[in-house]
Amino acid sequence: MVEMYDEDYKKRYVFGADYGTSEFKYGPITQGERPLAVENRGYFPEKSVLSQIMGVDREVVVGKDVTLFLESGAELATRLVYPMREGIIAKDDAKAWKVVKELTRYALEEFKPKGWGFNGFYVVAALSAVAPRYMYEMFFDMFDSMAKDAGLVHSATIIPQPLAVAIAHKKTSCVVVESGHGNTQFAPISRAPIRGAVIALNRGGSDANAIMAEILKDAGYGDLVAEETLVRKVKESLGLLPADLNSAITFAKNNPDAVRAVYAVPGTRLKIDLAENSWARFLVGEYVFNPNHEIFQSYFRRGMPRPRDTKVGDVVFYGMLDMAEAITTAVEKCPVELQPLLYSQILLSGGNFSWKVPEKLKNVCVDSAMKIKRMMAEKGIENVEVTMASEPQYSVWRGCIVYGYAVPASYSWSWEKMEGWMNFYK
Amino acid sequence: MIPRAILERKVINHMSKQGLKFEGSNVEEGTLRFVGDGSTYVVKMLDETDGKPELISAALQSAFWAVKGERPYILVPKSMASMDELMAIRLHGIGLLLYGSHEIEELPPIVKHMRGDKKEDGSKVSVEHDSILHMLERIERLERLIHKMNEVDALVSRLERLEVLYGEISNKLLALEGARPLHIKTTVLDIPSKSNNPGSEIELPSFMKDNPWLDILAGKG
Repeated sequence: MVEMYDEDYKKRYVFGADYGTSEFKYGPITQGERPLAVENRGYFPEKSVLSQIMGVDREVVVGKDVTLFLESGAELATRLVYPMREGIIAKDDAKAWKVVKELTRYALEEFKPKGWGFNGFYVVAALSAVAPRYMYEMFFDMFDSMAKDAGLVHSATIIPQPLAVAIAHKKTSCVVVESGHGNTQFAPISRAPIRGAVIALNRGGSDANAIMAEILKDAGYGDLVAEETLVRKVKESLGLLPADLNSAITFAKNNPDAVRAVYAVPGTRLKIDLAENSWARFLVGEYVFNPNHEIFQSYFRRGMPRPRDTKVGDVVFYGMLDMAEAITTAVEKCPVELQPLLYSQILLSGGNFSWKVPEKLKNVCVDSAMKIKRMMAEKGIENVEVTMASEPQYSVWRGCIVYGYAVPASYSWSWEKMEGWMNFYK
Repeated sequence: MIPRAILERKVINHMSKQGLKFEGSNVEEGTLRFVGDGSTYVVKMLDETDGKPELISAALQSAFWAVKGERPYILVPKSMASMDELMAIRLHGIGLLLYGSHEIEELPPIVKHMRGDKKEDGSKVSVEHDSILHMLERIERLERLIHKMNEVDALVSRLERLEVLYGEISNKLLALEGARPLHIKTTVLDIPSKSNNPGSEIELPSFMKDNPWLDILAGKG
């Protein structure tokens, strides 16, 4: 009887928390199809200002309240903290941990039911596939304190984001490619994450922004490149993904009018026209998938940072590995028998894969799935099926909800398997 | 509240049935006096408007009469004191007459005898009286425990009734969920597991429907 109640209770109070690089998506199972989202950031105001405005003595402000402080200007960069920009929080980054804790508390408090019968949520947190063990430990410590202080957490578990994506898309054997702001993860999955086979690239949406900024400078808009959000919007509007970069550049030089595009900044008089530099639109998408084309060397020489190999914990983040190479490297770490199955189910997730194909450029542009397929074919790997995650911004949260709903409440956390529930309810 | 005159009549009737003769009353003291068995009985009367301080005062006064060789009783409304408190008074050689809506109930004094005490006729008091007192205290403790067990039994029955109610409400909720338009969210969504409700028509979120991971994950542990 007790077990039945535990199980029934768990299913009512499953709570998904996706700690994405730019957004924190959260909500309980009752949210239905979509979670709520706030920017994954926190603001550390001067205490006097904070107490005046908020009437409370909180060290960090998160959620919609952050907007109240954004006009502060000069000190913004030091006071506004994005804890998950690279998917990993350093052990001693106290400010980042404070933001994560406050965001989590903010999210759980928002859905805490009033009245009798609530003993805390069953929280499923999703972290980067390359998150080191100490992050798991610190997250569990955080959930423990929330269970003790406010009864917000009954039990918690942590899963890698790619596993959540695979679950949300109902794929039990696949390679999930999750591309975020700062990095891209390649995670083979076969009924569970194959942890030893995860590959990470030190390249993400921010690198596409970097080359977009260089192109804007060349086109005479150097004064705008300091505004990161504007550069990102220009990238999303004007950036293109070529099927083959050389062919696309040749096409652009022969058909300048077909490639030329203007971006009108909403709500302003500003219009960004790349004019004779419009051919460079193809560089933006190509750079995300393969930065090894010789044309990018000129950008590195003039000062654009070259993506470097870095090591965080035990994980190497490769800088210049192209995406097809990364997929094959990850898959080849798996059992040979499994490899064909994994190649046949490649799942792309993340805003970094949202490349439009304009009608008049459909002979030279492709979407991300086709690009990967072509790159894999160039490496001699056939029978590749690539699919784009639908509503990729919600995939991780949805996977968390399914995971929390299905994994039995009696299954205790195992550090060996890195799965199960860590119980905090006494 | 029962008028004092009626109370007096009830006490006189009760004591008369015990073979005692009414000697008179003292309005100022609030007492009635009786004689019989060679002793004088003094009944101190308390009204329903009196409280604990009056009860303590009456007990002290009665103890004083007991020392003088009289046999004191206190007439107390049943609701005024707990059985523990009444027992404490009786252990001081004071009898109690409890009244409520019905007849008077008499609780005789409990006289503590020490080893070596002598009765009026000179014979020794049996030490068994001590044992009896201990027994009484133990019985009282047992009565309290039984009372607590009854309370636990009542709570268990209540819990069982709530369990049945919970099951009924859950079933009703499931039926309602089936009929609920998709855009309306409930505060607590009850999604049945596949194995428990194979025939359920609940509208699951699209990402849960026919999801092969449900079976894989449910088999964990």
